[in-house]
Amino acid sequence: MDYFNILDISNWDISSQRIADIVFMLTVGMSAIFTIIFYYHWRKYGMGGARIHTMEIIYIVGLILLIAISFITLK
Amino acid sequence: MKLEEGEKIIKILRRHYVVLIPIFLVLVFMALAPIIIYLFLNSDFGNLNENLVSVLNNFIDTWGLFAYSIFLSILWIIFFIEWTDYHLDLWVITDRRIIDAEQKGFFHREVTSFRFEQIQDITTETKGILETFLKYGDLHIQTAGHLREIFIKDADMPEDAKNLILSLQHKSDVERTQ
Repeated sequence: MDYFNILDISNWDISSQRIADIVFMLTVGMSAIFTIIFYYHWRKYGMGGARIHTMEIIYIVGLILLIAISFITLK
Repeated sequence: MKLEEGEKIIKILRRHYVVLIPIFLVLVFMALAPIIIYLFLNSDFGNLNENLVSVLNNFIDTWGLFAYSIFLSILWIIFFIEWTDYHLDLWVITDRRIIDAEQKGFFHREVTSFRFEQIQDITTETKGILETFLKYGDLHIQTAGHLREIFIKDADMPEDAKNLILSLQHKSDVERTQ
C-alpha cells in the first residue's frame, strides 16, 4: 500500500480552477440556505405589504445576477 | 402573528429606515475597497515590485471578476441579514393591545403584548437635528405588567404613534365602562 501524507502540500493536486469551482459551489450553497431562511422569515413574520414584496424581488434578482456573473467568469 | 377574534390591526410601527444607513455605507465601502486597493497598488504611489504587480495583474485578469462577484454576493447576503433584522422588529398596534415583536437572531424571536389597560405612561424622545427633521425618535411606554416598559428605539413618527395609542386607550376605557 502506498503511503500518502495528506499533510504534505506538494501531494495535493489542486488547480486554481478546482479551487474556484469549490468556492463557487460553497457560495451557491450558502446563498441557497440563506434564501430559504430569508423567505421563511419574511413570509412568516413580515406582515406582508408592498415593501417586503419589493425587497424579495430585489434580493432574488440581485443574487441571481451576481451568481450568474460568477458562473460566467468561472473558466 | 395570531390575533384574537375580532381584533383589528390599526398600525404597524417600525424603526425609521435611517438606522440602516450606517450599515449600508459600511457595505458600500467594503464593496469599493478591492477596487480602491487595486488602483492604489497599480499606481505610482503603490511602489510595488514589478514582479508582484505582474502577478497581481495576472490574477485580476484571470479571476478578478469571478472573485469580485463572489465577494459582492457575500456582501449582498450580509445586507439582507441586517435588513431582515430591521424589518422584523415591529410593534403592532391593534384596537385592543400593543404587540412588541423583536427579532433577536434568525431563530430567536421575542413577542410580548400589552393591553391598553396596562399602559400607565407614554413618553416620546426626539434628540438632535436629524431626528427632528426626519421625524423619528424613541418611544417609552410604561406598563403595569411583568416587563415594566416597552421601548421602541428610533421609531418612525413617534408623536403620531403616541397620540394613536392614547386615543385607542381612551376608546378602550370608554368601552369597558359602558
